[in-house]
Amino acid sequence: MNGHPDNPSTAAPGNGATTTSPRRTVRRKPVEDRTGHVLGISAFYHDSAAALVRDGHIVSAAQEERFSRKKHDPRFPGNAINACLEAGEIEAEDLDAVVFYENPVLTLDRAVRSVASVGQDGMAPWLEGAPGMLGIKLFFERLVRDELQCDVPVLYSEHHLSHAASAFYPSPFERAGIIVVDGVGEWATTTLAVGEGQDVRVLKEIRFPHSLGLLYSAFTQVCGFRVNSGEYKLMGLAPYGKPRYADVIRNELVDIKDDGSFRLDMSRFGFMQSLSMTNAAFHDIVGGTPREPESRITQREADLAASIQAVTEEIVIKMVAHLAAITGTRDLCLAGGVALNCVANGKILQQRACERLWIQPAAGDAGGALGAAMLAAHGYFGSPRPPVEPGRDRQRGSYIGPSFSNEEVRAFLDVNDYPYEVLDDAARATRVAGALADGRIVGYMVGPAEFGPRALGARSILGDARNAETQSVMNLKVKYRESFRPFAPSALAEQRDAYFDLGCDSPYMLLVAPVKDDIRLPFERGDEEDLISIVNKPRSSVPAITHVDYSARVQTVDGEYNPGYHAVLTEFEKLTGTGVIVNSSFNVRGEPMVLTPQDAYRCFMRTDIDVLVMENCVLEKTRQPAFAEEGDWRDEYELD
Amino acid sequence: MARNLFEHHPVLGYRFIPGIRARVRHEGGGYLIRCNQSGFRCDHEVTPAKPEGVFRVVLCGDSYTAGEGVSNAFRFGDLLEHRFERTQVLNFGLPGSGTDQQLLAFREFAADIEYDLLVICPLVENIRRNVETHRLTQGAADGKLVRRAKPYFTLEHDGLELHHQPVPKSVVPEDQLPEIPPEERVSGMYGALQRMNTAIDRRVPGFKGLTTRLRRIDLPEEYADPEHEAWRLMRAILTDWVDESRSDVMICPLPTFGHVDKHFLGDNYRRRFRELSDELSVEVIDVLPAFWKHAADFRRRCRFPDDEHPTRLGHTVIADALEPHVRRFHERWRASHGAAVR
Repeated sequence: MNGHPDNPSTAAPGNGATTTSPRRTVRRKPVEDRTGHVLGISAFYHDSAAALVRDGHIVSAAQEERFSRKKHDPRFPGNAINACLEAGEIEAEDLDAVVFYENPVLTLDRAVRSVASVGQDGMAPWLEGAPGMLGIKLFFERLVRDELQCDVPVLYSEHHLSHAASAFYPSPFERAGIIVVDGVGEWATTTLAVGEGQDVRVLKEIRFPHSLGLLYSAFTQVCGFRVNSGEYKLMGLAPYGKPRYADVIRNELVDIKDDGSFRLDMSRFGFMQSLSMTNAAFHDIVGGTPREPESRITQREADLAASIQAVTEEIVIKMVAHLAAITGTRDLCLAGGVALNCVANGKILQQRACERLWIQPAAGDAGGALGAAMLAAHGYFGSPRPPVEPGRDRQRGSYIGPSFSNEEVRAFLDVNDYPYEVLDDAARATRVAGALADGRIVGYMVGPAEFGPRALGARSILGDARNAETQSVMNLKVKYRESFRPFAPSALAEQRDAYFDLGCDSPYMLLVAPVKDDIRLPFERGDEEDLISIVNKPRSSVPAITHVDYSARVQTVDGEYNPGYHAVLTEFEKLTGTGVIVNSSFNVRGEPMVLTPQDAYRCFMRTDIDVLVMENCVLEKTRQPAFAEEGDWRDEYELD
Repeated sequence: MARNLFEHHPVLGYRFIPGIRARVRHEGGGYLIRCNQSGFRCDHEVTPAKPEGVFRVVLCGDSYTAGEGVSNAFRFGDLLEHRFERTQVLNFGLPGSGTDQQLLAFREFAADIEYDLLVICPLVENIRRNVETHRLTQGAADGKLVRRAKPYFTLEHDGLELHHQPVPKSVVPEDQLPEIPPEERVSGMYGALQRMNTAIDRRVPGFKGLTTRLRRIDLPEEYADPEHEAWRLMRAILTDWVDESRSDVMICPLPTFGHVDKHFLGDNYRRRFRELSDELSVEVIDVLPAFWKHAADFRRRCRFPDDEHPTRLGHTVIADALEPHVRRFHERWRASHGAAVR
């Protein structure tokens, strides 16, 4: 990566960034007073979160949006902090340190220099970002002390170091290469690192403004989706298109080197001078101006999506190969927003660019909180990494969020006289499986919530994967979202090879794999542009989760971390002979995933979900009293 | 966090969700809640028989006793428990309750268990809750505040009569609430003056206290007349409670911080409780002197700036005030159970 003298954006990290420890001289607690608790916090850009570790073990992690009900909430995560201390049952003064996931001074440095480099033209993005950088971030310590009312030491990490730590420390590996790719941290947009034992060492960086994350976001915007949340839709749209613009991207927008390093042609981007990612020169080469949000999606957007997806995969795979060459290890960890591109992740494995792959489930900025906490625990305070059993990792299935007891669920239902039945775990699994087999939609809220953007069977909406209409029904009547968006399957881990060409487990739903040839059905898309009619054509024996390119974003479920959910799949397989169901996040479009019994009940009553499961309580829609609300609830949520 | 802490209870109206573990965000930095399976903020389970060789105290009250604002271990009940050997304090504090609900909690959960000392800690303002028939609480899935019924007593010629049993769960529409008598309504002008007073106090801390002191207000005014309906009701509740107890009883009326800060006089409530002490031959502990012996700055640190509940320091002062009185009972118990204790 830094072997290209014509690519000045690549550089060995400066300012001592190769260290594992957060760098700040602070008054430490005396050793005898330490409890081993470290709280990590990410905030003020998007997806603020908190995470608590104890002696290097993850205790809990939570994202503020789940409490505030504001999607991608960037505010100081007071509720998430509270939830973490609650899970740890500790007082704030028991914390050895609070660690912020990035260095606000370096972020400010980047912002000032960026403005200076474009002069007067940089005023708009400066005015947009300055309040956050000059205000809240620089007064982080005061915010922490106001929240916790105690004099806990505050440390600062660096954005990509936090991401790298979040990818390596919870992984099962003792030594691995680490790649972090996102929009931008302080300066870094891409980081290659290596993790070994308790250390994480940064090897190379690509610096702002040359950013693969921002390149992808530019296409997100051009295709009419919201930057920083619509990237996932762009990935879902890609299989509907052909990569007709891939060469244009390579020739006009990004110069890609053999080692995966790259350089953007900044004359075609707008983000340095304006609040838009792109400019007229960009639009000239991608067939015109951005699609109007919420307008009809055309073949042009699908082709643009397919094109940027192909280029992204090419860059990432080259990077993986280069990192393996310079570190000598073929075990790989990923984090950063681009690591949520599960199509690219799947390609890494399919092309055998690495041997084993572990991706932080909260790969976006929320995961920075966890990384910062683990970095301090291992790198600063010297806690050894906990041992890990073969085939396991240290993230516990990412079921590390808040949970609600049966007593809490029943208290909510009883006081409101909402009818329900109480079933034991086995009967619950049988009931849910039966409802799914009957083609009914089930809202499923059981156990600690997931940390990360994917629902993994703790806050999920479930459906029958065998039904070709499930995808459009769930999109339009339950999720109220765009019809083209695919749904993901949860599959019994022990049966994954019967359905998917995966080759490994995928417990965090971060890998896309082809469905097996022998369950595919002949499918001719034709020249149709109507996405609903395309979606409704069956493509396999599990059509609801088979995308138009015969791919699926797979979650494999074993009995270790979520036995209740595994039991649902097992019962469904007994009833139907199919060990796969549809698993979508428990929310509607624009809404954060449900967290509490109140959230779940509200979503249940607002949508066409037929059955609601909350811990051991099961509710039927037909037995519920009328649910009246003032105004239109859809106005509560901004479209994402 | 949106975690709900309470559940409906047919006798008390509500209680903590049994076994709940929670942390509440608070201006004091947040506090941890641990509840037992009976639905009270107590680290001990309520068992019919007390553990062998243990001095068991039953402690009743409202949110001051339950410890709103501080974690379990920092409450005066828990502090007392740790100051005495072989002692267990069962905390039956119920936030937002009147003395009526506190008596019902005792009857429902403590009356039949084995214990050595009953400590009743009504907040002096609870006298007003006793005459209320409804309470504000969080609503259904929308989380809005609604009114629900609470249990309450009325004083009839043959004693206390209990109403709202079982306590209805339903939300009461505002237009069906009992009408407030004209003499108890807050006039628009008075309300506006109060809001102005509060607003100035935010900019000039101490202003509100100063104006209160200058007016020489002695609140709650229900204590001014021994024949006031609200006091007669509270006295009857406490009288029945003392009668029903199978052990020694201490009554510790807890002052508000208006009294602690000397904004309110407090003479009337202290007089009423002294009379009650003589009438029932029950020890009444006055904790105001324990606060007043400290300087104003110290006293201010005994409460949270906005939330008028005791801080850890405030709980320590209450525990200090109660300690010598509890010690007498503890020593008597030690003397009578000497062999077993040793």
